[in-house]
Amino acid sequence: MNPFRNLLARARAKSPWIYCCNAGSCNGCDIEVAACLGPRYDIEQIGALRQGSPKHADVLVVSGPVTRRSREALRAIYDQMPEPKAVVALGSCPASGNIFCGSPTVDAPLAELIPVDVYVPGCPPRPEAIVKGIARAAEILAEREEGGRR
Amino acid sequence: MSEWWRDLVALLLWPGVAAGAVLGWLLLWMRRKLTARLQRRAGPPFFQPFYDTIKLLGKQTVIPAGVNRALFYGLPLASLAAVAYALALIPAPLSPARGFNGDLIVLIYLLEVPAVCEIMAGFSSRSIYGQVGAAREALLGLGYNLPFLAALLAVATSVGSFSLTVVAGAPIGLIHVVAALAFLLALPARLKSNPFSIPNAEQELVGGAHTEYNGAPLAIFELAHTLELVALCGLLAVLVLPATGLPILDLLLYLAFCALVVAGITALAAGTGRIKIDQAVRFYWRWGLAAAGLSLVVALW
Amino acid sequence: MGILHMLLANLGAARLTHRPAELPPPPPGFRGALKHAAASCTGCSACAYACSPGAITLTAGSDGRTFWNYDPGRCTFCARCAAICPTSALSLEALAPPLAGDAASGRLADAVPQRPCGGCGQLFTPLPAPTIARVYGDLVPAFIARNLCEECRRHAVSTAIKGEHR
Repeated sequence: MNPFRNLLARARAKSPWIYCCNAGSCNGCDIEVAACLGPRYDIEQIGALRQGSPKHADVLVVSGPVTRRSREALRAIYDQMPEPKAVVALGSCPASGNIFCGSPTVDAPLAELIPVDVYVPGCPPRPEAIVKGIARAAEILAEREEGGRR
Repeated sequence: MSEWWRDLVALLLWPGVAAGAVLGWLLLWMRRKLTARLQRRAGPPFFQPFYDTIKLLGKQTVIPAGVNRALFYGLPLASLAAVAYALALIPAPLSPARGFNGDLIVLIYLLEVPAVCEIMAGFSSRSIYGQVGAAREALLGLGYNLPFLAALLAVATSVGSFSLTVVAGAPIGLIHVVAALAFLLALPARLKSNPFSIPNAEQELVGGAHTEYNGAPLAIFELAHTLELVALCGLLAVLVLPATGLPILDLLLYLAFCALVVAGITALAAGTGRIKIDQAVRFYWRWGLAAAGLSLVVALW
Repeated sequence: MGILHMLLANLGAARLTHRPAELPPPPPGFRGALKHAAASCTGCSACAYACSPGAITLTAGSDGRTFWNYDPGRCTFCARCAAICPTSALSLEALAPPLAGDAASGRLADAVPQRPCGGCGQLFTPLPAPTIARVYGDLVPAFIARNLCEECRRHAVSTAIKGEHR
């Protein structure tokens, strides 16, 4: 493996820029993500920055079940993110829909719409679990670079 | 014949792209770490800006439909080239380049190019956020250029030369204090930091003019902004700092001064909110005009 | 000048941030990953009834065994299942549930224990010892009550009661 790929893999692990998308959640997970940006849990210490534009992001953090209204928007946001990208599903809503499963307006699970790399269980997950999930997604991006896939 | 390689070293090594990038990443890390400390956070690790740049260079570039490819790739490169030449012109201590008469004027033109590239990038990106960001950048430019240009022209008039080497070597007087104040007044808006961060208002405008930029073009744009930070701090340093006898001491003073200016800008950014575009322009046409007028009066006196 | 004082105070104060490795553990009573003690499970389905998102289901296996299934991807971690379980077979440990790479990992499928009755020979689900002690006290020796199905147990208990009052 040449040193440039090594450096790039390391850079990908150390600089996961996130884009948070609320697909239809109750905001519980989003409030915990807001706690992650605060002084106590501080995701900037792992190099993560919250970006406003999906084009600037590497990791898509999705909270909430996929609703009929947010389905197309979520797909469009995922498509606009440049490769390489990873998806983190927060809580149990993107994993299965939780209590909303079976509702006519909910299209759970998220994995049917876009490929998911990390599931962070909890309802809502603790901020440290969210930070761990984002760090794991960054590792996955680095592993993909080392493995040769882009 | 031996002149061109000196200028090439100045462009590529010191005080040009290589040294500018390293110093810029250091100053950028300092900004983020100081902001974090002022918010009682831990902040990023030391090599974070370097890793950010490498990561962006390794990402796929997605060009939105209908955007001119030549502009998308060309604008960041033009911005970077202009700022690199501007850096090379600055007579930093131990710089191998020789200046020429009138290089202050060239420097002023070169330092305007990044702002123009930013505006063109926003307008050509086919994004509403980009267009609003570019329009605000243009308006703010009308504001901050007043004290910025007046400061430089006042010092040049007072010294009597448009050669940067002569201006940098002139003894310190009242004009330098007044001009430095006017320069510092313009600096936060040039760097788009609070309270004048309205052109790239993160929560409101998503990414400002850079909204649709990604991958390597975004990395080049960010690098150009970093070099612009170094160039502006370096310019203020060479204008304001007196020359001691020793080049090494000069260099240390130069670096310390850049760090001090960046620390001040960061503390201001951490402590203030963002003001609206009309408030910002009104501020500059009131206080910027006063500072500009004062510096020209002192220069001509 | 309040913001200036705040900035200066923050500059001198220690950072509030915890490094990921030095975070304190979750407090006691934190509802984390669900633990199922299969030996104490009787397959009564009270937990499946109480579970609002339907994370717990009881299914019949091909060989007639009952399976207790749990999907952490559907769990709300409300602990109503643990509250309603009559044999205290369910508990939520005070540790955050682990990250998963795919939706199927972390799913549990425990077979509800069954064995033939010491009396009639039919397959039955034995009651756990604490439940027997709570329900029957010392009416019937525990080792007998554990080995008998519900019918045989009832018969043994009524015989013991009639025997005492004679």
